Amino acid sequence: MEIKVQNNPENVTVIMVGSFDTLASEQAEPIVKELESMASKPMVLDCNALEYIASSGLRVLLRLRKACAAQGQQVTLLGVNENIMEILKVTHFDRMFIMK
Amino acid sequence: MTMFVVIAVLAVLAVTLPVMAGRIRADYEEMLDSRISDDLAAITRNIEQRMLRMEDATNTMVNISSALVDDMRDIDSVLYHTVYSIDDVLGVSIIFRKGYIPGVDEYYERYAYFDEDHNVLMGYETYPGDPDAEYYWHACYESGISVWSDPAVGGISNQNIVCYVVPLCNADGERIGIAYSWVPLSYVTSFVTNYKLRRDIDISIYTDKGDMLVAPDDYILELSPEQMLTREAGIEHLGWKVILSADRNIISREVRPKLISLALLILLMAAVMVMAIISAIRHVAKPFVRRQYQIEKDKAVMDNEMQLASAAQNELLPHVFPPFPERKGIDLSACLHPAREVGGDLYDYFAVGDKLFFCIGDVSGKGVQASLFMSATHYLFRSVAAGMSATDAARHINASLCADNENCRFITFWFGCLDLTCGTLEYVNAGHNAPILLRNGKAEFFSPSDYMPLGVMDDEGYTSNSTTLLPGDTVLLYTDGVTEAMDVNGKEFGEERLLQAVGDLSEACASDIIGKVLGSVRQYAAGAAQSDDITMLCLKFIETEIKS
Repeated sequence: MEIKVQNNPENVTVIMVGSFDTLASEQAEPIVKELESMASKPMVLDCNALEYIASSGLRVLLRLRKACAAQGQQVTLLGVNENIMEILKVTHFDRMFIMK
Repeated sequence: MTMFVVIAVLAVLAVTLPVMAGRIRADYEEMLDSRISDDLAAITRNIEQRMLRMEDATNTMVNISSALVDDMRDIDSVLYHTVYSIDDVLGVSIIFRKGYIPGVDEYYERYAYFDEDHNVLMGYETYPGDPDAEYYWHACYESGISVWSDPAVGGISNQNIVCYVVPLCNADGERIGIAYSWVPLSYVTSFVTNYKLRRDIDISIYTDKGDMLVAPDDYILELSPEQMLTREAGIEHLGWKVILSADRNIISREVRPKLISLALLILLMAAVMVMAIISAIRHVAKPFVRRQYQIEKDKAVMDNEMQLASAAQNELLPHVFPPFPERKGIDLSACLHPAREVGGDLYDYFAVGDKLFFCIGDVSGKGVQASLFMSATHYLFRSVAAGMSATDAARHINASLCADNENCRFITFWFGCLDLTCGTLEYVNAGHNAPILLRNGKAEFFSPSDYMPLGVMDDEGYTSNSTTLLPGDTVLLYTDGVTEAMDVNGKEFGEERLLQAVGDLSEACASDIIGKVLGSVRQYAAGAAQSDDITMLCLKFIETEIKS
């Protein structure tokens, strides 16, 4: 899994590529911490190239959402594929994000 | 390890020794060759110098004699002094041609020589015949050239001698005879013998006619030309040939001890190396290996402890089946097959009065923290489920899990409360996979969850659903470890396959249903590693109980 962070003036865009499994979420920990500290801006999670997300990956999304919510910012999920959308729907996580 | 080094050293020896042997051999042969050449030059020079000295002495005698030939007393005096004063000369002689001495019509010889007692004897002789056979008359007198004779046996003690023969002229330059000195052959060959005694190089000397002056040693004669290293040189004055020969075998004899020393040296070095390696292993590698071993061991211990923790935790889950043998209205079974790592799956059930409480859950992530979160959920479920409505229980558990949940851990959770007297099932689905209801041979999913998993939003308004189970109905709870079990190509088992598997099991008891579904999943995922916990709980509602 690959995570690219773009700190734009108007938002923070996070491009996620590959499979967000347990191992990936462990490896992403430093980036997640960094992103949590950037939560003063709206966050856009670009999921166009995200193939799969495990529950540990969902937990990372929750953490980002929580950090943003604490500063009154919203998190947008962009280009979520069908499988991931189903997971989000089953868990009702789709309600916590702006889905685009 | 040591064995390996020994074998390596032997291999190195096996490869290097022949090469080294060849090299040393070649070097030694080259050295021997150059020594032979040097010796040969020295020997021939030495012989030539001895000859020249003899020639000088003879020429001096002849020069003096030339002026004195008219008086035989003067001639005798010259001969005497020559013999006496020149070392190594055995004797000298002058032969006058026929008719030169008045009144003597024969060859006339005057001589002086040492007898056996080392006294000088003087005398004269005349012979009628040609003295050529012994004294080179023709070769010298007729040609007017000085010559060295072939070796011959002569003199008083029948020694081997050679003679230097010089033409003799009178003061007017008229040729009147020959003069000669005879010297023992030992004079030219004694040092050769000495040389032979102290060197492993053999010398032989031949005349130009092939006569042997110095014989080679027997061992040389036995050698084939290939076995010999040979150099030869001529002695111009005499037409002699000096041959130096060495037995090539002495090269081997010389090389062998060197090779043995070399091999010993290599072995010694190898031994030192082995010692060094062993010492290094002892002082450096061993602690390192030990540390690695310790790390592995610690990890194994930790893994083991994790497994034990997991096992202990799983033991907290009820696992005696059938769990309520006295209750004929229900049949219940469950399983939890953890993946390698400690996971966070959960199932539970308990009965209070006429009610059966049962649940299944799946904590996000793996590891000890997930496991602890699972334990907390389990504890909360046990604490509150029986004491309040399903709606309140869900909200209470959620609120408790959300508190201080910095890491945003969550658990998908489904729990139900079945009234065994009437079949009413009240349930809450917090983000979990919808269970399967098997009724009249038809399997279908419960309605999907309306809510998030527990632990996400503390104000999530969980509200229970209600349905009624009919006698013969079966409910199967499961975690995504079942539906997301992958085959070797990474394709998931999926919900449809699960529905189908369950649909065929109407007649089976709860534990058989679990066993067979598990069998289907395992068969499907054959060869692929289990990536997630596989957890199931199956409840068969056989009949309603009479209200207690």
